[in-house]
Amino acid sequence: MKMEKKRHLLFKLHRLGPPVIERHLVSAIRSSLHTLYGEVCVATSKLYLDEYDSTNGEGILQCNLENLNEVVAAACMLSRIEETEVSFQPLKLSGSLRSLKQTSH
Amino acid sequence: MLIDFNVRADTSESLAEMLQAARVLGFDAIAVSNNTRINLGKEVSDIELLSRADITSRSIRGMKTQAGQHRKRALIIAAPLRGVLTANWAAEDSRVDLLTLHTDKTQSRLRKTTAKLAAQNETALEICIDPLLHTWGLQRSKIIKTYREAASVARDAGMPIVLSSGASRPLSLRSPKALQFIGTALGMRFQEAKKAVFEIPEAIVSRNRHKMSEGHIAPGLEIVQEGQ
Repeated sequence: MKMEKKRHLLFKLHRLGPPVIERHLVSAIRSSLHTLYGEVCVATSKLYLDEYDSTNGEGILQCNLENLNEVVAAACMLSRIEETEVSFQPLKLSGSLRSLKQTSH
Repeated sequence: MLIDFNVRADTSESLAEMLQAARVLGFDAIAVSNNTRINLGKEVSDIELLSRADITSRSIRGMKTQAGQHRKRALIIAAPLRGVLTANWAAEDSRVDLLTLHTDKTQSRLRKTTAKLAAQNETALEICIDPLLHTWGLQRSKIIKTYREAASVARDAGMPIVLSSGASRPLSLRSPKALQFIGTALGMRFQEAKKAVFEIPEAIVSRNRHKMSEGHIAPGLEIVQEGQ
């Protein structure tokens, strides 16, 4: 079985309203991805949150390289999660988690 | 220089909020329509404020008058993509920089002929992403269809594309990188979307600044040194 390449994205979630919890964020991105690109894309994207701080909105998400554009586009098109108005900002992309952690800290 | 070509602010307070949000997202400049009563000449923060004029007239005659009135004051002039005749006129007129795509396909359709004329005159197609953020389901898929078709026609004709936010609230602004990724959802290749956000807006601004400089007389004709 061919090894799938992963990518890690450092992001910041700007918000107006109460903090967005991790579960709601992942669910909103998956929902947006599902609406825009369908079930197959959600299934193959292997989208996970590596890290997320709900207070400052910074986090790292992980997905398949093949579906990277779709995942980030879907996240950037989010405008509201629950009662919070949001704006997703992709900051830095990397193949390894370590280099992103060095950037974020 | 990273520029968001389409920011809407009705009051000085909302403009200040927009400027702050744009700075946080990494923009160097934003263009705000000068149809509002805000004094755009005021220096606010370290973000450059560019003046934009939107042509509102529906007749060619009215559009010509407005273009003439705005050209000396506004750095960017945008015309809506409506009927064939007005769109073709705007595409041909060198004073118009942007043809703004409407979300309704019945009102706003980019024809191949218009795109070819626009490509010859370096008039860009402007796609605002704001309607995509505030719609859902079938309504959004209709907008995506309109945008994807127009982007495809523009690409085939060699017409430049500009991606802008069209935001009227700070959280409707998207960072340059986010706009690039959203561009891929509109059928643009990653590098094309990058050009639409990072290169074309800057090229339009520097071209117009050159046009509006004192020495410029006409394309290819400028005063390089004054005689004694």
